[in-house]
Amino acid sequence: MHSSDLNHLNRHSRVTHSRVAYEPPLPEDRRHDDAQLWERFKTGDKAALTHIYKTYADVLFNYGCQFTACHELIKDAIQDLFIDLINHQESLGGTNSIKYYLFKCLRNRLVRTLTKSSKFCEATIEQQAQFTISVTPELILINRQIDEQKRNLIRKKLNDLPPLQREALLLFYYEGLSYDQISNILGIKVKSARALIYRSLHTMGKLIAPHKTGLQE
Amino acid sequence: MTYKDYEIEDFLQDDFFVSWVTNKDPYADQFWSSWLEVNPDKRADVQMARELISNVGYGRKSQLSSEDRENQLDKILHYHDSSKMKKHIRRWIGVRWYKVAASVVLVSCVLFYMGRTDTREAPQEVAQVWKVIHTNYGQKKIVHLPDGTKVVMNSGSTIKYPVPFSTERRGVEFSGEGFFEVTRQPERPFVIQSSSLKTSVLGTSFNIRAFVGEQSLSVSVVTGKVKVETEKGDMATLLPDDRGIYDTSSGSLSREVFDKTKTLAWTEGILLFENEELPEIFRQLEKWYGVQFAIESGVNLSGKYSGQYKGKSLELVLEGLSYTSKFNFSINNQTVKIYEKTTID
Repeated sequence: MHSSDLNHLNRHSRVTHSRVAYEPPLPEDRRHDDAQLWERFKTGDKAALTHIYKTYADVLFNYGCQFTACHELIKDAIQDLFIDLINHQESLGGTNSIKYYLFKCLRNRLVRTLTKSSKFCEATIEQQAQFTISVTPELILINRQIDEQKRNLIRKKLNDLPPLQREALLLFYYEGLSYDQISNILGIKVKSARALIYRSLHTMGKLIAPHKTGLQE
Repeated sequence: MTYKDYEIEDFLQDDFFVSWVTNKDPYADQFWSSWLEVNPDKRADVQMARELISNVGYGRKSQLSSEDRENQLDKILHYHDSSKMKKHIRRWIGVRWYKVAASVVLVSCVLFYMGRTDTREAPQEVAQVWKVIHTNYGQKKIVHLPDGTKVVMNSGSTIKYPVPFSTERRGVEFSGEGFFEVTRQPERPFVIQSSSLKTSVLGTSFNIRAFVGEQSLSVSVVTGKVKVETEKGDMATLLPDDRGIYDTSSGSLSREVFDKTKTLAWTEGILLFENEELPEIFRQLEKWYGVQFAIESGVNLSGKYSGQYKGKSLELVLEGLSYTSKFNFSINNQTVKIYEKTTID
């Protein structure tokens, strides 16, 4: 047994000097995936297009519904958005976040059509009611720290904020977009996007700090 | 401000923290779970912030009906097919070269411009941005810091650094294993904070090993002079060929001479064992190849092994090991099953 041990050792110390470079396997991280998927879409890959549509149709529709209750208008906007992308497939820039790219395109499109065609669509949403926020407990959390009463208080406070601020907060917390991306979507500076989020959170942080008990409303 | 000084509000605004909660980002996941282990006093704040972030959602939720979705996808795909056909025909009729050339120029202008705005915006809007780079198991990276310092990162490591560095000090946070070649700037020391050990240098090269969960942290100096300092304030100055070892359980700092070839083998892609036991070797293979071992109970893993592999597949390494041991293995995707060798002979 011992002599074979040694054989094994020698066998492998010899191969050490081989010229084969060590190539560690690259784990697929999401940004990498997105960039690749996007490149494939740009070359006219049908499967990539299908995948992108299936992944984002619902989130885009939900996002659109925050601006207007006219569902036909949102559906049209999404369809036109994809048709536009197909038309310009080859000349599109690269992106490493497809979601961000689509959100930005859809928002521009919606804002444009909504200012033009508000007369054609009855089902408008008052500006103050756009992007309302809910604060609902996640089922999987066992050790909940924020009770019903606090949640209601937070929800109330958040819905008192101006709609743009609520939109920024939802894009940040719910859609998982970054400050850079949010600022581009909303057409404001990164600094302003940070300020929007900061202002929304300032009160909230105080409300949930466990050691701070002043819970007056 | 470092994460240690964060209050709930600060966590709530931190990109990287939020990306952990919202995106289930594997990089962020690794970082925050290790960070929490080192900073247990922040657990309550982190949990609270985490809970709040995941509780926030749309008040008005809408969904496309599956019928609408199918219809729309059909239309889009149909359009896609027909436009592809048109492009094809156009191409066969005769390419208008000037048009192609023009669009190539245009596209490259656009890309160039986009690239520029991207890099320009970040540093201007925010005075100092923290960057985090992480290597997963099975992955290595070379990172160039803003001051020209080069860091070779081994698997399962994380580095966090500001862009740009401040004027007095180049401070980074690090966990895992890395080989640092620090650009010499005597007026601006380079300081690495890794859990309980602080390493300060002016300009040198050295290997640092500070994996969360490992009992000891070590700093092995190749060139120059390095100062290490523990949480309690114990200090040691290390010269070339010195290794400082900090034992996290006893809190003692000691010094030894280290074997350069062995310590730096990983930076050249060499996997090296010297008289090591199988469980320890498996642990290293998990990191190196980004796999997980599932060991059936009752398998005899006794014995010590040595070996040196460069650019070899996991299968080959395991074959070599199992050849002289009492285990057999099978590799299925990212999982390696280890089971008892059935003796036929």
